[in-house]
Amino acid sequence: MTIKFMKRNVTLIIGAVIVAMLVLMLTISFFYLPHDVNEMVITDRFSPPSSTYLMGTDNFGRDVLSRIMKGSQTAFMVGAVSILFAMSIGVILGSIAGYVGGWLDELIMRMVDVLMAFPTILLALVFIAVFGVSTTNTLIAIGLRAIPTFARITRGGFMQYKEFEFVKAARSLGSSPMRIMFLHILPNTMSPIIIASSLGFATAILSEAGLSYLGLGIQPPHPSWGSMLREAQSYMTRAPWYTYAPGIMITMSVLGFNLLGDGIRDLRDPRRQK
Amino acid sequence: MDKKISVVLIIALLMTLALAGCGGSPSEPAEIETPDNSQTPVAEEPVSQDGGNIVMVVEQDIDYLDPHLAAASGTEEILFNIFEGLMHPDSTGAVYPAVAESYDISDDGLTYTFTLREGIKFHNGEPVTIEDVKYTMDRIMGTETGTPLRSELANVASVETPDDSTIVFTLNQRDSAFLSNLYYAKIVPKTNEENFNTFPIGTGPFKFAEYLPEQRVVIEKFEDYWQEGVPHLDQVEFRIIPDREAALLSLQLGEIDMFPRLPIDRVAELGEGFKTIEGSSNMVQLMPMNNNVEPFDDIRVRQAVNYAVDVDEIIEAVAFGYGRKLGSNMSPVMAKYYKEGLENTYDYDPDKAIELLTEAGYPDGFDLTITIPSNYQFHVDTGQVIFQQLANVGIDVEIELVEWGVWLERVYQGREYQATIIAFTGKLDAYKVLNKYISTDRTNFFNFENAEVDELMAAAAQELDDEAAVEMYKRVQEIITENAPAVYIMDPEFSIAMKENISGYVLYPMYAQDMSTVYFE
Amino acid sequence: MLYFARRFISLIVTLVVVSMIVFVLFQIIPGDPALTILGMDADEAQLAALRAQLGTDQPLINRYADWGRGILKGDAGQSLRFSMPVTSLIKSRLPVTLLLSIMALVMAVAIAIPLGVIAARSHGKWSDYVISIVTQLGMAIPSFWMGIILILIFGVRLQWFRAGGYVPWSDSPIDSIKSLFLPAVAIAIPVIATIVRYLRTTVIEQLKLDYVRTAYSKGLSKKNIVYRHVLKNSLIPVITVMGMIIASVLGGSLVIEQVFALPGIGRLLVSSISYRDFYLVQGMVMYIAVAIIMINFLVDVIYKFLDPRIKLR
Repeated sequence: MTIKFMKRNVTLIIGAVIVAMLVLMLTISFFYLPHDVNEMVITDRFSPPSSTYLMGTDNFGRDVLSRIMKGSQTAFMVGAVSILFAMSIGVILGSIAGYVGGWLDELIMRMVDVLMAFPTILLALVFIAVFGVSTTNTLIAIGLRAIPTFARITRGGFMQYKEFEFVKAARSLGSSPMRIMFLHILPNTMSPIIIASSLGFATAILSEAGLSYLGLGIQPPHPSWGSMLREAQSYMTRAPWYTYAPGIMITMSVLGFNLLGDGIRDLRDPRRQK
Repeated sequence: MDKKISVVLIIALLMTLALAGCGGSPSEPAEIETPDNSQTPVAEEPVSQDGGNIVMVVEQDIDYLDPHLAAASGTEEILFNIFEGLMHPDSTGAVYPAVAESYDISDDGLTYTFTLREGIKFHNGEPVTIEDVKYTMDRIMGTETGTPLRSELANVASVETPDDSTIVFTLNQRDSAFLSNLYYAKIVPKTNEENFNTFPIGTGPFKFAEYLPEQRVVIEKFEDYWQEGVPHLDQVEFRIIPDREAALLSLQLGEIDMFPRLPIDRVAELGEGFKTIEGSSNMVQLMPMNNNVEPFDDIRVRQAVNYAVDVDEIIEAVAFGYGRKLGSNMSPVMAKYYKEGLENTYDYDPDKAIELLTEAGYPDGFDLTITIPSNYQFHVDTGQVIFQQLANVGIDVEIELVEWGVWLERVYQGREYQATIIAFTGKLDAYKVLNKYISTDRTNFFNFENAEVDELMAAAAQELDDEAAVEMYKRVQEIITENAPAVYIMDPEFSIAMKENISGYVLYPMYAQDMSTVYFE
Repeated sequence: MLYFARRFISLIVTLVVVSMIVFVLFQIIPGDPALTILGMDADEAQLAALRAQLGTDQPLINRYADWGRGILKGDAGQSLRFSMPVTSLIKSRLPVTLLLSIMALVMAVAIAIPLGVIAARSHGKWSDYVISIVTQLGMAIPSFWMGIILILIFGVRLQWFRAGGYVPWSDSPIDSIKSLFLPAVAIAIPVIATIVRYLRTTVIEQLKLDYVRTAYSKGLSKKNIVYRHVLKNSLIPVITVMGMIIASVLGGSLVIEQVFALPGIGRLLVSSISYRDFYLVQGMVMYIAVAIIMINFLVDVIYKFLDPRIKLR
């Protein structure tokens, strides 16, 4: 890795470092937590950061660090599941729209536009009013909102590639449309999809935090950074450290995945750098 | 030149972010200072005994201005100042004649005769006539429409007005709660029929001035109030701030004068310039278990849960120790009816709980969904503590948060739930507190069924001998505790915080903010 | 003229479709308005009386039809929860939302545009990097956390601003602005970050174009070129972003209203949904749709103003 490369890809490197640190924390959380996440030591409530409780304790005397670590599982789970959900549906819709075109394209894209006009929170609010609050519903609401990006990107790629020689060649050799779509064209559109996933991951984490902050996301007592902030707000004058920890985690995760996404884009498309 | 601007702008932006991230790293407690409690609120201008305006915060918006349509406790406590019935409650919860001057009960307890108070006026200056009183009763009973507006007067067979100042009620059967029920029959002028819900008129110490939904309700002094010497204040604004933190900050900044139901643990944050009155809220917080649903159809399981839940820990964890432990569905505030000693029936005993669970066929516990209305953080917090306590006896809890409306429809009305956490607000009358345990009652969402309770309640309702009725109500509480349809948790204690120069506030055993006696020193 | 006709027709179609979506949702959504309004302490008689009064004992399709007939006559109906006309309820909330949007917009424009230009002009220098990183941070910080931190610093510690709640404009314009200052900052920060990023990219691209070189060769000063010509041409994507943001603020910035306890459109929308207030939800949704379409229209007009070559379609 040369100095020149590093200088040209500051974003990528910072993003990668932040994400790597988060992944490290996530990995550790599966094997080791300083305290039981739900254990309440009432006598230790509102302890400021100390050697026993590195990030202090909350209003029930639960260890904030352990809950932050466990919360990273929630955040990554929400990010991964909702983006996978959005990606699979978005890519399929986008491929069909781009490859088949015509009225089907028009129909799919208008549906996508409608979905795009809804703010995530409002979509989730309506969704939750109808189907109730649950982690699955939160995932679906966030995932639904992320579909348009993937659909649009995939469609764009398909429109571009379907006129390429290699596709025409494959078609003349009698390959089935499915084979052409998924074996020939899709691999070529992967890189924008990966970039969108990274950016979408950040948005998903932010949305989950927002919903949990409003009490519409992950159900207590399971730790989520957003719901921790919601609780922390009630005690912000007594235990300000409790407000900082989840906020910083959300910010760092969003920042990390945004930078990573931007970094990959710059790498793929060096013109944007100059 | 533009270099300078750029530097200034960058510094400005950096500072914003630096401030935002102040104390950013959680391992730097040095940056965290304890909140500054020493600030004193803006000094009030010197005021005499009479006059002055007060802003009181309330957490909920009102449901109706029309006193006969209104049902929420949060509305009740505001309308208390605007309306009176023939009878009106005092600070002990007993009722005294208000729009009526006096009353007489026949020996068989079936005929109540009221004499209208002489010279009493509505807020619009019109005198209260016997027609207005009759009109009010007819409106509530739905004499003309056929559909009653409320059921408090359901037991009334007929209402007569033999002369200009007398009204006579004949009842179907004896009714010990009839006098206190008349409080809900708030007297309104017939002439205001069009505006009951937009500009209500009553006979209370304050008259309605303004209502902005989700913002405020303003009431003003009624000069012609029938009681001499009250009210003192010129104006009271009930400011609706659902968020407790925002409300507390407004109080600290002196924008609000009075804060009812402030958790006692927050009092220390107020600093100087405030005083507080502490008291129980006459609420019953509990975790009902659906008695018809497995595994709670087995009394041993319900008792096991009672043993497994450590109420003292909940009070400490959720209410910071400020709550009265309960053992049955009655708050100690209702001193007359309160059956003592029940709160220790199920002292925390996880071993006993496991024993009972094993007996009932659940040696390894079971999965339990507790459905909690999401708008009550207090109950959600309680649920988190119970989650942990029940885990100790092998019961795997999942907390399900639902919207208030969904809770009412599905849990309260539909009775489709396993367990839930809720609080009942105080009522004037023991019958209204305990009637939810009558097997046929609409609000018996426990699905509680006990023949003895049904009999006792029916007898108590008609019992005119107060002492005998009290004994019956106490027995009902005992039976409830034995059968454990719910885990009874606490009556949370709150304090009413107000600026130091405010006096005269009186605490009621029910949702009522009586502003008539409040004055500035 | 054709442009206006197209816009108007698309507005009508959107409104009809949206109202139908709301209708379908209300068919499947659980919850009874009368029960929700009156709560646990209501008795059966009160509930029945209220259901009859609200008309919720009628089938929803009839109420939808009534509402539709009313709308054609310009009557949006009565809110079930607040027993007030829907239009006056929305009107009572608009001042908060409008003032908040205007303040956030002013802050955003006043800070973001100079900052974006500076970043572009110092492309590759240290200040560009600093601005880039700061804007990335600005976009990553969740607005509700930003709100909490602002309250903690400026409301609780320094007590410069109100920590929450809203003072009506009619009570005192200055206090009103003060009460909305922190929420406006919380809304403006991510907006500033986004605009700076867009502006930086487009200004950099514009600076490479031929007309800039021509201008240089004519001897115009760099400042003159950037602010008179390049900026104007770079504003189009910025206007697009701002239009999107304003539209969402006008639709109620729910989270910010929650953090700062403001009685704005967002909170009314949440109330209307949680009380299953059919007419109010319809009214709110109509309002939001109209607001978004109006903003889009304004954005188009501004495009036209910035670049007369653009044709309104």
